Amino acid sequence: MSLPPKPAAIAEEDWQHIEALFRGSLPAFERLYQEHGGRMKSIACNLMGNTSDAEDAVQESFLKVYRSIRSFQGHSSLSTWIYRILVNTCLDLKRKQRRQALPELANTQETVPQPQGLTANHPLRLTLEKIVAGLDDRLRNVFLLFEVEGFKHSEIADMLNISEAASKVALYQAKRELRGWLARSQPAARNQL
Amino acid sequence: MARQIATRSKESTMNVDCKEFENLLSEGISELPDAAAAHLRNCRACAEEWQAWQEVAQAAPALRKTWESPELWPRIRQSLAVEVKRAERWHWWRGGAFRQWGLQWQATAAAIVLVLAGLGGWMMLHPTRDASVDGDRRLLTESTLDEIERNEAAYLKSIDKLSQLAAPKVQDAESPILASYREKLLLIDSAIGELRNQVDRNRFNAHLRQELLLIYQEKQRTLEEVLKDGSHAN
Repeated sequence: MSLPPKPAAIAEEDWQHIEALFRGSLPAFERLYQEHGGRMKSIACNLMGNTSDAEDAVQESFLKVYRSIRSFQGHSSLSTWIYRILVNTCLDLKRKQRRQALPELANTQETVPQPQGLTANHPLRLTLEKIVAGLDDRLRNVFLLFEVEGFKHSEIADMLNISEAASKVALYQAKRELRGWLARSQPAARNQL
Repeated sequence: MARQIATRSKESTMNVDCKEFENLLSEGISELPDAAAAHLRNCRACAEEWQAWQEVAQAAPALRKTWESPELWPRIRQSLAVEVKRAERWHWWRGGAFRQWGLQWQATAAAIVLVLAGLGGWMMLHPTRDASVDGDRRLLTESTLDEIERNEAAYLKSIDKLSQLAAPKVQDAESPILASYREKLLLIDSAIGELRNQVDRNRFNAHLRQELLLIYQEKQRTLEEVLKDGSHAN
């Protein structure tokens, strides 16, 4: 089994990396982990709600990258493709968890790591985190990917398999809801920014 | 009072500019164009809206998570290594040995693949449920489970003994038939590993236990064949 011919849109260096991943080169995967592992963990943690499930999702995503690297066609960058796999893995795991409704999941919430910037118990961060967790899945995913992780709408559209316009609308709705909740629940917290 | 002023102000400038500003927000802008900035100077309601919008955007990065996980990469590396090895074995097997060593193997491998595929399909159609909650008849009781685990332990003991006897023949396989047995055993072990993982997650599932028992039987039979055929082959 071999890789299909290099798509024109992919740079030579990226293609070499992809070929190495296809061959199952562990150093190539390690490079991928070093470049994207931190961000992958953060995305997964925000989507899954705890570090343990997040790490499982990252591990599973790496296996999926290896299994499906042959289907990478270069329509997006390699990194966007990988994050797309991660997001889908997280969403699948969450669906599975909901279906199984495992009682022990309730105990995993305590392993949420320290955030960057604001301190862990900063009222605004705590409020925001709580409100974001309560958002509708579609709105929360777009908000987290755009505002927290800094992806562009075009990348988010590719990851979530929606249009750019849908991504923008979802972000708008998410921010409107957050803004309303923040104004009601934590006026003091807003002033501490 | 401030709200009243804001409302009045918004009403008095409720024209295309306010709507355009709303559109800009829905576009997800992070910086204001000059025209919009000029509008905000004249429209307090939109200015407040923009301020609140900015506050959410400024606070959001605080939700980014970082933590040390020195064990994660080694874990991923190990699982990738297993996956790569499995894929290599599969390609080798499909490309050469599979064609070379005849129909008996193909049938066994196909049977194992079918069992796993059927198992996967079955798991999808019958998501795991808590036995204590619904008392599903497909789930085992504690006493039945004990009995089955004793049977499994007996199989494992027998397999261990056979494996010890067969190991020298399989490891130093020189004849094609012994080499093919070695590959078959690797495939069976891989299937056992996957099934065991499923069973560990759902010990009371009768279907999984039955599949596991069948594969143990297949391994036992294969080891017996190795001992029998191996003496002729060598």
